[in-house]
Amino acid sequence: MSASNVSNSPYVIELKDVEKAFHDTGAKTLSGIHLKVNPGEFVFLTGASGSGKTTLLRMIMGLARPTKGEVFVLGKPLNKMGDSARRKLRRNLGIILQDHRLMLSLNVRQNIELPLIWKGLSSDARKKRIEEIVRIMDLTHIVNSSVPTLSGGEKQRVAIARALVGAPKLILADEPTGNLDPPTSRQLVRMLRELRARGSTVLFATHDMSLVRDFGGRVLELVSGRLPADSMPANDQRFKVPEFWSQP
Amino acid sequence: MILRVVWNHFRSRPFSNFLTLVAIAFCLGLLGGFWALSDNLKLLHASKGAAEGEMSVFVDSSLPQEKADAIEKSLRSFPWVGELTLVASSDSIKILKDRFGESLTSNLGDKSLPTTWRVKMKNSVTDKELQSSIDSIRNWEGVIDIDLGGDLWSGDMSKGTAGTLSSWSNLLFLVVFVVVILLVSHITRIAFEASRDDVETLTLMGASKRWIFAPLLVESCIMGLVGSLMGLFITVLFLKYGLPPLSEVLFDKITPIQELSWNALWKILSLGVFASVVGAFLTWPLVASSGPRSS
Repeated sequence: MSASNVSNSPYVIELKDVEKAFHDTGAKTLSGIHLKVNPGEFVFLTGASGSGKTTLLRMIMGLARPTKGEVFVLGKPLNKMGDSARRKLRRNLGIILQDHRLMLSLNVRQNIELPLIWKGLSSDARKKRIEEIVRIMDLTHIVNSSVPTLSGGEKQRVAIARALVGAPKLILADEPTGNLDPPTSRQLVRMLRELRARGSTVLFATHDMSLVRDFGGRVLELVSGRLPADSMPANDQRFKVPEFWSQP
Repeated sequence: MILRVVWNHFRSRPFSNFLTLVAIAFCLGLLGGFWALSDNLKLLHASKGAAEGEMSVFVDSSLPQEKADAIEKSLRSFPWVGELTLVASSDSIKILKDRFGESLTSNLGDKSLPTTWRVKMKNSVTDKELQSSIDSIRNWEGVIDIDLGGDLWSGDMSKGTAGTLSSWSNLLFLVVFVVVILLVSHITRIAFEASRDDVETLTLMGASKRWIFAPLLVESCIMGLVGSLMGLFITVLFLKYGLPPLSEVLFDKITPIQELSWNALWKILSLGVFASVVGAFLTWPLVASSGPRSS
């Protein structure tokens, strides 16, 4: 079934009674998850190791299917989309992981350029965007370096630049500060929060409670696969859904 | 970008890639060498025919008159053709009976024999010229076979030297095709397995399967092309340094053809590249099921 034939969601992320169980044991990693995230929100997703943060993010990335319930991302129902459609949807996401996941065979510039190629941007447009993002991320001096020669912090900055260069509407960050020192971690959070002004939504998974305390805002806490705590449910947010969101 | 990925694949496994190239080159070189030998055997055959000064072209008796006329006209157009005599099917049986007697030819019965054009060749004809003409005549519509010498239809000529060579040539072509496919498929699979982390990352970021497959396909094509060129080089070495001593043993007093025809050259190149593309596509199921799987 094509995604255009089914009802869409006005939220950037919407989960309706989502449950995820292991195929082999039947044990539930997520259960009864209801979640709505409006455009432009910055949301912390916290919880202890094994609480289901990564599973929830993988589900939102379209890499895992719920056992029960529905998942909408950027308004599209992931449950009803095929592999190819979910790949295309992921091109509009900015994904940042703890292990930078850079391609070692490409240099910094080429790694950052990848999402722009799949978006179909011209060579000039790609060049312009890369120049801008490497300047912002302070990567100009290493833009032609090969990935194995970079330090851990530089690799993570390159991964962040790659996630942001396509101006994604939704940024999913899974423990992105795990390999960064505290000042760099704070700098990263500050930068991602600033992106709200440009209409990007950020879901930031972390177990670093000091970051959550320092920056505050909406915090979701996963406990044993459930979501008992949402500091500021979407319905109470002041954000208004932009009109362009419902346009094709 | 894709070429950069390909280059890094090559750089990361130089030894196994080189071995694969050598194996492809050997296979294609073997095929080229066989074709060279085959050409020289045909030349030997033509040379003997030229020495006899006569050739028989067997034509389907049921051929419409205008097509039979076209064959006659085409035969007369060769500069080496001297006298041309038509032996009708009924006359062929009569001649055979006169020559071999009733008892030896009784097995022919009422079986229809082909019409025969007996061609007397001019002395000026060269072996290569004759061989090239024979190859061309064999492909004419209505021509059943050719015999060098003035004999009539023996009934089993299609299994002669040319037929046998053609069968072996086709078989070897098929074997080399399959072997090159397997070699390329194997090395492409290794390249894919070695880059699984990259594939996972690309899938995560939304790269299409075709984009992930493209470097593997390009890599295979390069392998096929370079392997074919190396195979041609091996063939040329064989022609220059292997064939002359071999011809002294195999071909009595015949100067071997020491050049590869354009036809053979293109066939070897096309075979190498096409088999490589097929080999690459054998890894497509791996690509299709790759990446961070939906669970």
